Amino acid sequence: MPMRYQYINLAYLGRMAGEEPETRRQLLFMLMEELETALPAIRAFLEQEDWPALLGASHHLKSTLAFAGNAGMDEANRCIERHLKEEPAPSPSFIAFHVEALEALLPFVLEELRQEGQKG
Amino acid sequence: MTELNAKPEPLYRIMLIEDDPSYARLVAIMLQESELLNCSITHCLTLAEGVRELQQGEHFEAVLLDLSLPDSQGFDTLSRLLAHFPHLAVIVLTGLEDKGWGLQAVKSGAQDFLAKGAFDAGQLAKSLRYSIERSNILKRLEEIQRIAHIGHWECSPSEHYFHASEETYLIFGLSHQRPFTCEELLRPDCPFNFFLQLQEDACRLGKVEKDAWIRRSDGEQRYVALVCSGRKLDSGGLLFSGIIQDITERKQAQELKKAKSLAEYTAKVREQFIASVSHEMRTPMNAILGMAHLLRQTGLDEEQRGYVHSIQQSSDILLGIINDILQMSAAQNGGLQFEQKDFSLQNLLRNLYDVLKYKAGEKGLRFSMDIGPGVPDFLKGDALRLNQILYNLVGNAIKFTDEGFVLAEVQLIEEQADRMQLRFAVKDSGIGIAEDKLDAVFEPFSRLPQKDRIFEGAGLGLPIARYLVEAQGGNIGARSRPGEGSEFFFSLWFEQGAPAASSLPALPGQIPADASFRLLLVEDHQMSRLAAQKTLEKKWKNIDIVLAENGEEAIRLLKEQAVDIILMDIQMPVRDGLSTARYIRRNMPAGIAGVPILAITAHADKAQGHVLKKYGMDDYVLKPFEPEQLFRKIQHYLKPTPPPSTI
Repeated sequence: MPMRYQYINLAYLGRMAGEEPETRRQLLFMLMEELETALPAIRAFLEQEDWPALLGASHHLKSTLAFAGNAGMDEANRCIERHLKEEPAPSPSFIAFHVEALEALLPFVLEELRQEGQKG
Repeated sequence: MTELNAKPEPLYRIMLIEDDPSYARLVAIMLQESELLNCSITHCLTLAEGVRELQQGEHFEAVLLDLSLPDSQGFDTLSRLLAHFPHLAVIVLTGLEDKGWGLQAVKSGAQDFLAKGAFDAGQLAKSLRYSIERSNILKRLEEIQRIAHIGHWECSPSEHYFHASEETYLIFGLSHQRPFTCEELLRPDCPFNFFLQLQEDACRLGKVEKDAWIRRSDGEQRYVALVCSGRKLDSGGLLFSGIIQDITERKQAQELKKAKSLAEYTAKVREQFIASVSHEMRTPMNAILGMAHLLRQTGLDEEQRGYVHSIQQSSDILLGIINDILQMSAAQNGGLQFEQKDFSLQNLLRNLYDVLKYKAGEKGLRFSMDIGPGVPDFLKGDALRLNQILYNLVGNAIKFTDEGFVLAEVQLIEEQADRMQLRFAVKDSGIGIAEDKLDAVFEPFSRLPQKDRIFEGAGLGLPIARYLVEAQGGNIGARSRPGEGSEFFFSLWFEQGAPAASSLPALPGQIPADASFRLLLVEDHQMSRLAAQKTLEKKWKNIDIVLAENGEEAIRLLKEQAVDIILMDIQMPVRDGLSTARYIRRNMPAGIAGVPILAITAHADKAQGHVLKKYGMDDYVLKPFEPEQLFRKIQHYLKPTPPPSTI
């Protein structure tokens, strides 16, 4: 019986991997690696108030999050990207709020991704 | 000639307190001679006379004060004057032998000192001018501090010195009239006691900047920003200076904004959750309906057929509600796009009639449609949304009418050179609505209570119709009376349409699974690149995929080998997709410049299609893309050629 997850939905990742377990496994590990590195980078850009770099990172993360299937992280990241695109003077506290949401959800997502990875 | 933008020169009023009339006359002559200062002089012979004059409210920009007066001698003269007027700009006049007094006077608040007999007219005017300017700047600074709730303080524990500005006291809800001494500051119950902690921190760190809550004398909590730094004195001790600003309102606004964005975020997630649950429910609902349909085809007795019919009816209702929720959610999130395409109004109404006539027939209602004179058959607009609005209105009319009729009609109400306004109305002889409840029926989830009856539905049909009409710049309304039926109407503008030859260019044939072609995939996102590559390789066994991580690399690869089609991400490091596409179209040899370029973009904005075309891209696929979507686009644009050769 397939595992039921609370924080991830790997339907898209599965569709993109076709029925090839090796591609699926590869995508899964790439996903974990991308998520683990993306958030510290986003946090650093926020602290430096480097908005162009943060916009780039958020845009990149959007593609990554599609594979994880966590609606909360999707939404938080979308808020960050939209805010940076639309606000001439971005609000650090607004962005920080959504970055905190991303950071809060990340451990749960990673945990479930690890469980999926351990299934071999 | 007047200098451009020169500051206008006012007439300064100077008071001279001097008991020697001849010396006073000399000072007056000196100042009259000076071009540096335009002033009038008021002369007082004694300190008492000067104080009296000042107390009468006369404004003087500066006071020249002789320290040796008949009613006051020495440094005490200045102290007494400043005690009455602490903000007065005072320049002390001393004897040549009394320079020490002058120095002490400056330390105690005088702006400057001049030794009698040792200054000329220019020096006197310069000293006065500088003092006045400095005094004005200080006044402005004080005003700024008052408006911005900024206070400042200085403290040197080793020198037993402490001074805080008036605003500092006000921030703490205290009176400046009763200033604290340095010794009082050391007492733990002194409101300024925590300045000592700041001083300790400044000793360690050089400069301290922090925000903190403080409690005012009336118990109210205020949030303040604090800055403190120290510098060494000749004595070896330290002099600390600090700034304090009351930022309670700013802090509250930030908290409010945070709470607001949290609430918005929560609402969004909730909406998403509802939309996602509804979406997930639609698939099994469709399955239930399909299975029920199949079940009816099997050999069932009458009772069993009745059960299946009930399943079908309930599933139909549930599916309708789910679709409405999804639609409303998309509308609230601004996720609906409107098309401008040619369509036949007659066909649209005929189809609508065909779909709904059974429902009306089941209830024995007369259902008819009427197209008014001058209404053109072909319009340009969003046929799908118009159909949806009419379906909701007619569906509602049938639902709330037990006997009589339902009529849908359309009339031309205004015609302009390039567009026309149509009015659609749906009338029925149903139960009707009280006039004061009419507005409420357009609100989401509002279902008017009916005696002894429950009508199915989530109450979203009319809100959706209203959204669809208003989002296209139209108006919607209703008139009704209980027991006398209702009329729901809306008006929309349409352009004159043309008969649609074929809405889409003919699709080229399927590309066989064993077709050989070369595809350049330009994508910096590693996972998307791998996913696209694997998906395409699975679909077309002989596909040759060339990978590039950015536009620069793509251009380099294109110089080395020909390709049949290019898939290109938009936002990439080094060189983005837009400038790469433009470069390919403008600068590459004809064979490459004409290759179809499909953008793969996560910019979920359909309007971006125009921008992409401007840069030379043929079409786009939105990320995250579904494999079938990608295949269809490739099939549409790919012109299979013999196996590509190296240039």
